[in-house]
Amino acid sequence: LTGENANPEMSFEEALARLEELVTRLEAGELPLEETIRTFEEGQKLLRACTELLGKAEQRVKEILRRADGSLDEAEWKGGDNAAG
Amino acid sequence: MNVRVWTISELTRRIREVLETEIDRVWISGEISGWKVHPSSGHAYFCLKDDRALLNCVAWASSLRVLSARLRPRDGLKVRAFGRITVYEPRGTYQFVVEQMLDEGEGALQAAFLQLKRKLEAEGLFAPEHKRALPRFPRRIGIVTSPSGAALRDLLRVLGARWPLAEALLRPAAVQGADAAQDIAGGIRDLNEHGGCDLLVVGRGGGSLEDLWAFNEEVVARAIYHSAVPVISAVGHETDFTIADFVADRRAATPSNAAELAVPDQTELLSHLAKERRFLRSCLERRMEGVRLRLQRLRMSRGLRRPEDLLRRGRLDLDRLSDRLREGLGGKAERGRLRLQKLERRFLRMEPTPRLVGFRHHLEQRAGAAHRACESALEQRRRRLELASARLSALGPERVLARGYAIVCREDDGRILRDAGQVSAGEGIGVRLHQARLRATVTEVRSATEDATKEGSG
Repeated sequence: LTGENANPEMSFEEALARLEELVTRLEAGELPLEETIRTFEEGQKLLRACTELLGKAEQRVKEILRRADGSLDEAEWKGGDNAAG
Repeated sequence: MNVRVWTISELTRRIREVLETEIDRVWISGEISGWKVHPSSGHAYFCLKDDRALLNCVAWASSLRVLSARLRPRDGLKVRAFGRITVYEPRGTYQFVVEQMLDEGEGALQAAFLQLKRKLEAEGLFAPEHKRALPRFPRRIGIVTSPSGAALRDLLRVLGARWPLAEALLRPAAVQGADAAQDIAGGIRDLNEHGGCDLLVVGRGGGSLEDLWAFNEEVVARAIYHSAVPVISAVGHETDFTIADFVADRRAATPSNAAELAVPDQTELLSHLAKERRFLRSCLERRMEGVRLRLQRLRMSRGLRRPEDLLRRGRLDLDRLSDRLREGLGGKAERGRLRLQKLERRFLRMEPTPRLVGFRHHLEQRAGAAHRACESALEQRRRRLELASARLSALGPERVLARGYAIVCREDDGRILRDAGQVSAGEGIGVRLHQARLRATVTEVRSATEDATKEGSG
């Protein structure tokens, strides 16, 4: 995830897993108050980040091509109608 | 001559019975000729023939709809047909009623399909324990399909709607034709080699068995099997099963279905997140409410309230005592003094005339009495105060004296005797007892040690 999050490399899946862990801990209701507030704040942050990430996402389509020297290369995909095949 | 003569109807019925019961439903093989669909009924009339014979056939409109889904019947096409013989009595003809029809070439393909399926199954390529779980949130999905097909369009549309976070990486491949199988297998390998994908989708849209054939080839099956990345197969329609479907980690009924299997639905996930948000908030609020209640209870508790109470009560007591003190001492003395001053003024106003000496004397007496009364009232208060303070200070020795002890002092200088050496026989002493004083004379002086010795020997 990006932005204010502590770990910018955290994927959506990791964020969701972390969120589930936080919720479980809060649910148990045995955390000290300060810990409860900290957990809540972290959960809020993760939620916001997850929601934003989905809201901003636009589908990206790329194409993989084999170059003359045999190596593989990526390029933006231009759409199928005028492509050969 | 007693010969059984049959009517035409009887014989034709007999023929019909024999043909229709003796020859049950069968598979026949032949080449279509004279294919014609009746314009109004929709039934197809044609012949199936081989090099030596010809059979009239009909396919009723209902059967025709089913079988044209798989093949396009036309003259010259070699087919396998399944059906039964019926006799049309009015014309004395028999015909084959076709229920199913397969391309003869397709029949060969079918056999090849079954053979390969058995072989790969025996090798364990379809083993459930080899199937890998699909990632829950794929970040990059490799797609091997035709870049111009409807399959890709459907796939991208559903992927984009459900989970735009996933990037699609297309490896264009021919999905039908002679080189299709090699191309598809190469595509799977390319995406594995290039890396970055956590899921592959391999497939194409619907078509004839021949069209889908590339996905029944061994090279594709092995490429799927050896893919390091999990593979979803999405070939043709719901009813089409290919070898690729058996090897893949997951089989999708259609390309759209492949997208549904590949990624989560963001709408569902967002509502799940909204639920989590509400839950988090309620957790915090519950916790805060608990703490607030505990604080409230503590604030109301006697333990915290008592010191304040004690202080307040102490201050009240102090005020009341100081009032009483002022009233008891100053107040009464003040009143006495006022009375005295008033009396003095009255006294001074009195004009002492010679003719009233006696009266004046009497007045003087009375004024004196008043003065004395006043003085004595004051005196009495003062004494009470002194007494109180004396009692306070004498509390120590007085209590001791009450218990039977005595304080002895020398008569001449009044010094308290603590030692036998301070006094000698014949001297006068004062003895203070509880509520009494004695005067006495010392008759003998003896120290405590002498005393102890005497008592010990006597």
